[in-house]
Amino acid sequence: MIKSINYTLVKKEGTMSQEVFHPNEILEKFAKNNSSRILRIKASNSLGKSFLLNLIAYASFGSSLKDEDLMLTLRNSIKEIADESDKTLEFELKIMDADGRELRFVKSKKKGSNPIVQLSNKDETKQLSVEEFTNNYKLIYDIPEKPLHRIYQIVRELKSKNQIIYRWLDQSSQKLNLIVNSLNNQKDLLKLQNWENEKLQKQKQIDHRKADYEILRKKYLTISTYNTLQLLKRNIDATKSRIKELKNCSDEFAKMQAPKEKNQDEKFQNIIQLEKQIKDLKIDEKFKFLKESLEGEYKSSFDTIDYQILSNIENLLSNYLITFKTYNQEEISKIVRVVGSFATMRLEQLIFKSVNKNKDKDEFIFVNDFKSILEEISKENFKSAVFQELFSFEIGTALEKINSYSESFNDFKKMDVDFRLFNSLLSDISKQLKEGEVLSKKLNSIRSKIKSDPIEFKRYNTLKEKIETITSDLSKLNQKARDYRNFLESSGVLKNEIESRVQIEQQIQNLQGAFQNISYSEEELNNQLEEKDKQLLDFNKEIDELSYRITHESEKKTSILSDEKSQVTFLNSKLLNFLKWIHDKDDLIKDDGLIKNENPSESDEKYIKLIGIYVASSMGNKIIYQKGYQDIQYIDYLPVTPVFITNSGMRISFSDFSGGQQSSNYLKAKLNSNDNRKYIVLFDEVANMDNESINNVVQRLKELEREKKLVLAVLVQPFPEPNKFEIETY
Amino acid sequence: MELNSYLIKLIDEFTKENEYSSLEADEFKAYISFFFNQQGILFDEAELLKIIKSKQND
Repeated sequence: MIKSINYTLVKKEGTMSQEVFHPNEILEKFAKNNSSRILRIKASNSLGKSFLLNLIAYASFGSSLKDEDLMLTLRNSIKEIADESDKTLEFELKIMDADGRELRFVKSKKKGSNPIVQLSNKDETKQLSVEEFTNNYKLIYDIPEKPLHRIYQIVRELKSKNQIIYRWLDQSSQKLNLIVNSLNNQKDLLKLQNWENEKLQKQKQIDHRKADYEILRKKYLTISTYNTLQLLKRNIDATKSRIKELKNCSDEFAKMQAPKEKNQDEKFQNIIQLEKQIKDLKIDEKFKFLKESLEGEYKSSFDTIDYQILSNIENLLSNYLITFKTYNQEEISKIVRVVGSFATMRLEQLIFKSVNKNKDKDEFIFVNDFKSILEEISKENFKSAVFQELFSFEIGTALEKINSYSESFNDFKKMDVDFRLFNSLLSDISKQLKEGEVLSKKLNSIRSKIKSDPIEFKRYNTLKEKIETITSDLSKLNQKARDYRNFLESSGVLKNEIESRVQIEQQIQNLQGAFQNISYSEEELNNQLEEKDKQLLDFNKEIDELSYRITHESEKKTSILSDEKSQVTFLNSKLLNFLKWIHDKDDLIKDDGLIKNENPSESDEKYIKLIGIYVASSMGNKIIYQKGYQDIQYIDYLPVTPVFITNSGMRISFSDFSGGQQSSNYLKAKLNSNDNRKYIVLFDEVANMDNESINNVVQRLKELEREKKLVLAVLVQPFPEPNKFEIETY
Repeated sequence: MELNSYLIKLIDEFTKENEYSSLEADEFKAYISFFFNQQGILFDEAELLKIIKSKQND
């Protein structure tokens, strides 16, 4: 109830047209003398009835109401009150709440100052913040125009609630999702422990293998050192021997006179060249091959003369190089003559000895010619036919027979081929003998023109070449010795222990015992070492891999929910399903508060019924219909026009309601009985409601008053006559 | 109908539709209430663990 009200509104202050407004006297008196909490003000225009509502709404933090709870026109009205750009406002409003506490709403004259609210009881006075006030007091400020349609506003509120629920739960879902992800990727302590153990085992194995490797390496070192010492010893011996050789050669060389004759070098070079050409003819070797081949194939055909001739030629050629280098004309002519006579007189007879050569030869030629003719005839059908007519058998048969007969000449054919081959070989030898004779003659001619001793010259050059060879060998030996010493030093042998041969021999003696105890060769040990090296490398790779895994795993985090992974994952899945379900259901509510009721699924139908229950509950489960109350269970939104379902199962369509009843039902819905806060109710423009409908709303307000939940209710409507201000109480 | 009451109705419909046992439905209700009461602020993992443990003990 209003205990007191006082305000001063100054418009256009300080100007000629300044106006000052105060509360209507009737209202002031009413406040002093009346304790009713439900007021119905009927007033003419411009008497401040709407200003009063705007003032109370402004003082009660009405501008903090959500969009769906405050019409835009009313929000703008509150803004206008607060705007002091062309006016000043100060007020003090005292209202007693249902618990006997005083609410004091006050604003100072100071421009731009905000109103404050103080709550006083017997003991104390406390200033309420906006939040404290709105947590305890519910302001309803509305104009009931097109009220039934605005029942859809309640449905929109539901949509808004869906969105709040969705948003809040979605935050949790996102965090759950992060937790599930982190749990899937969290540090696995068991796995980590297993890897650590595996790494330790591998490390032990490596240590063990390293020890084996070291034993093997020592053996290898012993054997390779021993072998290298031996090589170095031999190297020293070889070097010593070569140095001695070099000294001898050098001494001898120093005594020699280098050839001085003009062009002598060139002539000697020619001699060397010619001698080489004679040697390269290899006549002796070729004859030897011929003789051995003949003996291999036709030994049984040899007679004494054949043996004698071939042996004679062989003997003559045994001194072939000397004969030709010294140009022994007699011997050369003899060889040429004997080879020639063997080729012409003996070879053919020797090879064809087993056959009647002439007879076989004639017959072989005839058979071959005849075979060719038959093959020629067989290629043409006409000729084949003539042949068949003449000889009374087919050409193919004739060819088969002649081929068969031809095979009986196979031995002859082989001898014929051999003869040609040996004859050709002998012919080559004869040619080369003549060529050798020419070279020999030329050699003799050059040699006769040289005054100095060619043998001495050759010796000079040979010695010179030998010195060069020894020097090169010594250089190689020296390099080898350096390599051996370097290796030995790297194997732990001291440099000064291998300087002399005696020292090296001593080192060999020292290692002899150890060397003899090793049953493997250096190469075998080297192979074993390489194998072990590879194994160690593989082990190290495995350890590296394990270390990488351990490091990677160690960097992962653990969660206090680690042990509840399955529960959290399951919960996350359920919550996601629930959110999807809410989202799907919310989609059934259109933005204008209408319900998508075409072909709903069973699940959707259930939710639509829930909407109906919610709206009915928001209306206190009662509606005014045909001058009386009807208890309603829910609103059925499935038909095209929504229907109230009463407790008795009666269906009342929205279209059955009058405007006044619609207003009444709407306002009742606003006066939601499910809210535990105390109500400050401001309804403007209730004129479109008949008395009965207003009474119904008042009844609801009285219920709230009885429940000690009503602070104040002001219902305002215009009075058609001027200067009238009436306050009706209930 | 307050937001909490409405949420409970939603949970009831959802759990019925998905054939949750009454035990499962109660458990789900407890978790959803916990998440909802955070009012959009990220929940404390330790608090969630407490609920999980308490539900395991039930």
